[in-house]
Amino acid sequence: MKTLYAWTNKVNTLFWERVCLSTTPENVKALSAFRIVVGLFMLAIYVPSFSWIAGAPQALFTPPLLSLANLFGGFPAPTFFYLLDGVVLLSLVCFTIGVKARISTLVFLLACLIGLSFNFSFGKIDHSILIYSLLLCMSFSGWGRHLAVLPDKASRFDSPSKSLSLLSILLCFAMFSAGFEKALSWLDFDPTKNGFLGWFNDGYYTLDRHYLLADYVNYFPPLLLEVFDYTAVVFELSPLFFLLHSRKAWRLWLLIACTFHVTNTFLLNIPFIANSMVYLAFTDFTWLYEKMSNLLKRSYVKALGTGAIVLLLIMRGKEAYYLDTSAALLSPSDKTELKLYLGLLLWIFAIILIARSLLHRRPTATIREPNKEIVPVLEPQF
Amino acid sequence: MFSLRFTLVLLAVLLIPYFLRSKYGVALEPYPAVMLPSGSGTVDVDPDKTKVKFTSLYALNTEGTWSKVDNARLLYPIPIQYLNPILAKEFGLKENAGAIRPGIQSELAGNLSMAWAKQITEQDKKEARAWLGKKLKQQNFQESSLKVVQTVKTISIPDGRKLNSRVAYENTLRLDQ
Repeated sequence: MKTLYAWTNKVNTLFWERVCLSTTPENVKALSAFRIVVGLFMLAIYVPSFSWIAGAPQALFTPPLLSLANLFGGFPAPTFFYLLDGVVLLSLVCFTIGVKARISTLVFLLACLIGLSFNFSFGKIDHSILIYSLLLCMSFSGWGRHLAVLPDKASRFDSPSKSLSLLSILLCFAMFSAGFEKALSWLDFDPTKNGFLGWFNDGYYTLDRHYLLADYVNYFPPLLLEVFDYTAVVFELSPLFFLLHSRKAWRLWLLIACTFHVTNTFLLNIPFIANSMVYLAFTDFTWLYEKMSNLLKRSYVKALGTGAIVLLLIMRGKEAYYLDTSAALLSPSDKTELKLYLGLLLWIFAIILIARSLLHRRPTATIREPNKEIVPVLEPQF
Repeated sequence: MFSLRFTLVLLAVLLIPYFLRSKYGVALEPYPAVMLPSGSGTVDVDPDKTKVKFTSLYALNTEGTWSKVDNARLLYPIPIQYLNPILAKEFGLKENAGAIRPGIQSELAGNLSMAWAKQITEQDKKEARAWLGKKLKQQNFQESSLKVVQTVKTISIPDGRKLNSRVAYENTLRLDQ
């Protein structure tokens, strides 16, 4: 029994150290620059709002069986959602500018998860969980210690290498959860049955996803469609192998993932934009950290940054609290199209950054965490 | 690095929700859980034609004829991706709508869905009718009725010509009652 325990323990250590090798950040300070990128991304494009739920009829309330919302008899009162939106926006601004980023990230995460439980009570769970997994992991990475208005104090809970290792495993598992069932039915070597086309038909004919190159899918020969099925399965089941192989291989998989999402945006009109932030967590933002550190010394840059954040906050606040369609600049379908173009831009940006970090060889000496906060494990040691 | 105990807890946190979804269907997928959509279904492929099943909404325009409703505008601000589950329960106006959940593929999910069904009262239905009426008015339709039509179409590939069309289900919701 003792031998089994010792063996399992050794395998566990080996496994995590291997994961750590592929994911440890080059520079911990750069994670602070990444925090600002994530915050601005959410503030500009992705922050969820919940006040609109208050206007929906109670007859539409069908929460998932196993969710917090199922404890309620219906959608809560409007005040609940107004308060929730206030907390979401305030905590998001706090973690973006670095006001006790650890706690404000966790508050933002909790508020979002509560709100989303009601958001998904119309009968469908949207699978945006990876961006929230990113926030959970990064809140213990020490990303609030630099480039911050009120920096976090050093904590024994902060560990950049552990945070990114855990995030990579969550990403691998999420991909596995999508790929395993597909493998059972899509790898059928039967060109008369297709899974990719099932996704396409649903979006194209029911949800009016006719944008970008979607029309051309109708011209695809069955053999090409079959290749799409196999590619998706291999892509979704393979990340753990890349992760365990090497740092370079892991980044290569991230690059493939971005290309996969670009293809999905073009053909299925599904941009999955939030995943771009999850993949970018594994790239090096030292260049941005250095630029930001220099720029933020100038008062006019600080003023511009504050102005931009206030403007985004007003825009998001207006979107959350004033739902009048006539006041909206864009119709719902225009918004869908705009999101697709934004998605493409983001994916191209992600591809460039990941390709750069894949090709750029940093000297080993720089792969160190400053101040010796947490020493990354670069070689398995026993 | 992470201890063995942490790894085991992590495995349980990841695998239990996944097991529930794959064994009992999407209806028993917990939230939150670290999972992505599987969408593992397949459709028949024919190089010349494809069969698609979809639901459309129609309402009476000012001239009294049925016209197609813009689904995204009708639902707004509810996101369009929730259209299918909402249509499945016909905006909560269908019989026993509180128990209708997508992805009920097992007896356990069916039983739980029935046991934990949300009671939709007459007041709730009245509210839903008024909400739909207001939404139809915004698109210059009459507020009195909304027709839910499920169609199976055979479409020619690649020119998109309709080869065959069959109404699989049709129901007119009276909104003025």
